[in-house]
Amino acid sequence: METIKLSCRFRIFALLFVIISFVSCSSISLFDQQAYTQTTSIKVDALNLMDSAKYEYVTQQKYIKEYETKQQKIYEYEKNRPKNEFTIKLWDKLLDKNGHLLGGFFYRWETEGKLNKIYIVEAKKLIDQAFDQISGLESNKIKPSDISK
Amino acid sequence: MANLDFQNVFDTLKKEVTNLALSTVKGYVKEATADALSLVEKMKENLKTWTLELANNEISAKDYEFLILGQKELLEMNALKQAGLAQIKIDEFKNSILNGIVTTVIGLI
Repeated sequence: METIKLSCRFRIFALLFVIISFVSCSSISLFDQQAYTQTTSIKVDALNLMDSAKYEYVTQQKYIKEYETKQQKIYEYEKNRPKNEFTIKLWDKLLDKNGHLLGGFFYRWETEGKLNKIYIVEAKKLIDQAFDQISGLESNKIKPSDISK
Repeated sequence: MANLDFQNVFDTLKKEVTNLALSTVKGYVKEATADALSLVEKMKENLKTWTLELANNEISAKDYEFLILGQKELLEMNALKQAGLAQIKIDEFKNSILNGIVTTVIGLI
């Protein structure tokens, strides 16, 4: 009788193990505080740098280079996080040189020398919201501490 | 150990999972709609402002075009974010199911 009870318990635990293994795999990366902080921090840097587009690109190259290096580090960090495809696609969209968001803005600044002040103000509104899409996705990701609570 | 009524366990789980799925989907649709509508509302304001600025020669036709296309790309980013959020909701849903199953079955052992 005791053997039957043990066998039944074993089967239940085995069933639980299989279910847990199947269900508990996340399909998207978990929340990462560092990624969130880096994104919100570089958003401020990007918006400040955009203000400088009223000056000639060549006179601002030092600051642009500093900004680009910081941005590359963040992108690299995001790229190496597992199951982070949605965030990477968002960054790609934002930084696309052939697009019309941040990448396109910098490319236009570089090719045209300097940009119209009113255009800069309006473009900043879009870039602000574009960064919010990335940080908004990150902040909604499941916290590692919330897994199977 | 009491005899396990598996049919009862599965029926209970089925009910819990269905309720959870319905409330998850309902909550997500409400949030996603509000988020997209807020963006559309901002877009409406932007279009008015940019058109006026173009008419007043405050921005060039190229600036205007860049802003319009940038707005379109922002909407695409929002759609991507929504797809990611849906994935997160699915994970949260799976996590809740897992908790429900563990709690129900452990309670019977």
